[in-house]
Amino acid sequence: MADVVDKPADYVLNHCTKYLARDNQDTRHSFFTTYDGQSRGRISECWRFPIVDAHDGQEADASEFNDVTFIYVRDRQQPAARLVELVTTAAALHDPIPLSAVSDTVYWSATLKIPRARRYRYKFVVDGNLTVDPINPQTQTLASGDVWSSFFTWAYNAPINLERWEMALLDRLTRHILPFRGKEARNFISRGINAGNVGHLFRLDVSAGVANYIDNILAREEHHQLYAYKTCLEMLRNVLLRRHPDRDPASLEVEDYVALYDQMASFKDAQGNQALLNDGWDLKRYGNPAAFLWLLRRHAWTGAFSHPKYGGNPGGMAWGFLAATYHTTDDNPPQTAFNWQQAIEPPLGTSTEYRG
Amino acid sequence: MQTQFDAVIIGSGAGGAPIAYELARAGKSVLVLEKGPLFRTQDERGAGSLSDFKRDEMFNAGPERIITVAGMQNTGASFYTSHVEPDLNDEPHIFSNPEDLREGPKVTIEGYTAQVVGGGTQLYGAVSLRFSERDFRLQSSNEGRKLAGDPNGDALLHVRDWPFGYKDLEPFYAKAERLVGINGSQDGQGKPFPSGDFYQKPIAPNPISEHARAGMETLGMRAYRTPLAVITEDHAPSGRKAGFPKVAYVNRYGDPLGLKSNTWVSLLRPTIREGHPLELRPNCVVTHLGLEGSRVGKVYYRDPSGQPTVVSGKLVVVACSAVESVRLLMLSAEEDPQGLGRAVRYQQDGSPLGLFFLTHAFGGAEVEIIGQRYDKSISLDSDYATDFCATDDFIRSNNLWAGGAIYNNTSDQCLPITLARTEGDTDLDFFWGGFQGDQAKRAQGILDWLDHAFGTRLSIAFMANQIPRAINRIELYPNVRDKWNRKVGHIIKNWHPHDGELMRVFADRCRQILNAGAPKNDYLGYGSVYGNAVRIANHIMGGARFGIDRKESVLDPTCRVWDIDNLYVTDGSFMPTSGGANPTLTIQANSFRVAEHLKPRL
Repeated sequence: MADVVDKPADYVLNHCTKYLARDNQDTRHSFFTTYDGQSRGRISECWRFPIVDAHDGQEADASEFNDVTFIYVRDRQQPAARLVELVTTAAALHDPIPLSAVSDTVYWSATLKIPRARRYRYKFVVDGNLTVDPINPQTQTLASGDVWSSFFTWAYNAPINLERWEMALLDRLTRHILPFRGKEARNFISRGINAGNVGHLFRLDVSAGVANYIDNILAREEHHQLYAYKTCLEMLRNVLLRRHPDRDPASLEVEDYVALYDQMASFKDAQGNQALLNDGWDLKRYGNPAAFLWLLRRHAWTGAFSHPKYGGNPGGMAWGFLAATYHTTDDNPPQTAFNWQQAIEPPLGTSTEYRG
Repeated sequence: MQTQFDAVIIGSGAGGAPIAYELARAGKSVLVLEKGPLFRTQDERGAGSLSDFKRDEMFNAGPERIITVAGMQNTGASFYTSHVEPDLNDEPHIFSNPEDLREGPKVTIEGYTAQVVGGGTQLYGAVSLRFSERDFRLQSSNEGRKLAGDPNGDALLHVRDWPFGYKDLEPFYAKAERLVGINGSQDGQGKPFPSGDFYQKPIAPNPISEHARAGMETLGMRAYRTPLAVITEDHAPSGRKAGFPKVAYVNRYGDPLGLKSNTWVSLLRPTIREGHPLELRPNCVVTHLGLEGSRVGKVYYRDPSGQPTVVSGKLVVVACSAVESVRLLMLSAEEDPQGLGRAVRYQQDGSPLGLFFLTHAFGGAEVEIIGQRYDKSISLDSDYATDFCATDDFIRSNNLWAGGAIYNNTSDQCLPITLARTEGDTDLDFFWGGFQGDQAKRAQGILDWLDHAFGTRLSIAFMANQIPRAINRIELYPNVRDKWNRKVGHIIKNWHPHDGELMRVFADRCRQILNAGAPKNDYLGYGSVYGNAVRIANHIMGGARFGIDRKESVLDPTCRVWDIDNLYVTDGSFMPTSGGANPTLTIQANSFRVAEHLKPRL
């Protein structure tokens, strides 16, 4: 049973107004047609809802939880709803949790304290009628065909939109873009740096959790790039299968991937583009292989080096790699050239002031 | 809810907060309307509570968004903005180069600061320099001069002195330094400080900055510790306790600990806590002003739900950053062309409204230091500055019209995501462009790059006056509407050739400093924003300049709109010249000055 957390009205408004308040009803926020025909295409950054934030509590294990604030907005032109409730698998499904009207505004909210690295379903009950969240685009469809809204908390580490084979291929693709240096990286990992922060060390291996990060942001922040990943991963798998019919694409040699990168990168070069096309890349489905490599490289980097709450960099592992690899030259003995822990909240970091 | 106030102030940043502070403490009822949210520091919601700001690189420039505004040169391009910058599809700025139609119209993040309580002072690097004495009288000090790089002889055509001098503003600089909370050193600065020294003590610089200091001193440039609006000691005026601020999450981050002296923690919060009659309404966007007789009688805004709401004030102060303030005057004029429109001279022949928009001439140099590496993540935004290039000798010997400040950047590129995101960038619209475009940055190539770049990069920046030009201006863009269906702001600007000459001279000095201070270096480059018309540096000035001649200025010397009895504009838009340093401290000092004029009016 998730605890209900009391959030002040200003907290809710401070996280809602910019995105939700507006007159204009154009579909301005549907990148690459992702939300065409949906009301959420009219509001800014619908992926921010429900609001998943650090749990603001004093408990010893507070860092293991998120505060998740569910928002329902009534139409300014319509009469106010009388009762808005939340049913969610994060709490007892048979026991709806009432949302409260936020002072005299159009917003209704309820905040629950929910463990990190979990994914749950929910619906709103508006004056007795069950409805999915009109803002949040994440859904789960049950075997019965029933569609629920869905959300996940920080550092969630099971596949959301990508299949297992897609995750495996993505892991290989990103690992060689940002290869934490062979022997040195393996030594680093084998020492189990940050072993105290093992809660989210899933699928770490040597890939810094990048594939997991990408799967997470494709559900939220960069949902508009899901098509690119689904399409390009499938085509890349087919290219590799054509080249090596008897092998799992995710188990091929580094050289095979390096060749793939070269062919994607030099795609615009008239001489360099034929191999990829000959082996099955369909330009009608995704017109610029180099653009997908840009995307992979940006995501490999942000996935490795963003805060672990985004699903990569487990335990600060990629930060730790920089810290262990680079040293100052003016100090005797040399100090790390990236003392990231002093700025970051415990238990991940060691700041005595900042609490996350 | 209260609807009548002594003063209604639009904007909670550097231009508005000092006036709110002064008037409320004089017992006047003050309402501050702020478009953005009120993000709390730690402990603000109770002891042990968390901040809404995070040490999180994804807050700085966030995930990818796509520009969907139709008909723009960059429709379909990616953009990456901070969580407290506007959504460019809801509230775009449109940019055009008046002298090169190939540049624009395009959507840009340039010309915004931040939409949050505290405004730009939440995200800025906090460099808090005073302008030089000469910066206030650039017309009179250049009379009869011929300048380099001025083929048409028109560089000085629109240059005007400020209606007062450095000595008149100096006591307010001192007041701002004391009340805001700034650390730095006076010793070595080129400006006089007759009101005293209110700086807090600077903390130890990052060791990499020693190369910058040594380079400056080798070239005979006196160096001083860059004044930064970050407290290093307990700060009694705002009731803040000292902490450890050197954590790299500085420039472009709100500070969860409130050690960075933004206007919320330094001015507004203590005024509210001490019980003065100051009310802050965040998440409220002002849509337009309504004229009654010769006064602004009504301020129309949308509440956090978007509901239309009206308040009134005996005095109304507009301070929502230069582009948006000018836009608000113009939008109000379009609502009432015969009343407010006439009073602000909107679209009248010869009207100065919107003209002489300014940013800074800026640029610098950057190297990777060979054989040495530092932990740049333990740093503030800058450690050392020099006023050498603001002296009359320097300006005259280089045939320039004005000077500027030079300082090192310490925290730039010190965190890994920012290192990649800003690699080879040319402007704020270009985040990730350099990294993504360089496909060699993968596999071994990316590790080699890290080996070279991580903890080795040192840059020196300059910030100098930009020539005011009538063709550099703010207008309403007719075909693009914001999320409230209002016309958006149109920034039209380009550099003058003399700006190019000035920037060339300054960039070369920055290069010389690095070569003198770090002789073993891999040279990354030096240069400026000349040739890149869209760049604004987050320093947004002009467009409603003040002056002693009504024909040439929008505001009188007290920052009052000439023909409206109770309307004042106090963000950077009042400036007739942009000054040779970052503008925030001067905006704050001027607002403290204006407050002295306002108190007797209430």
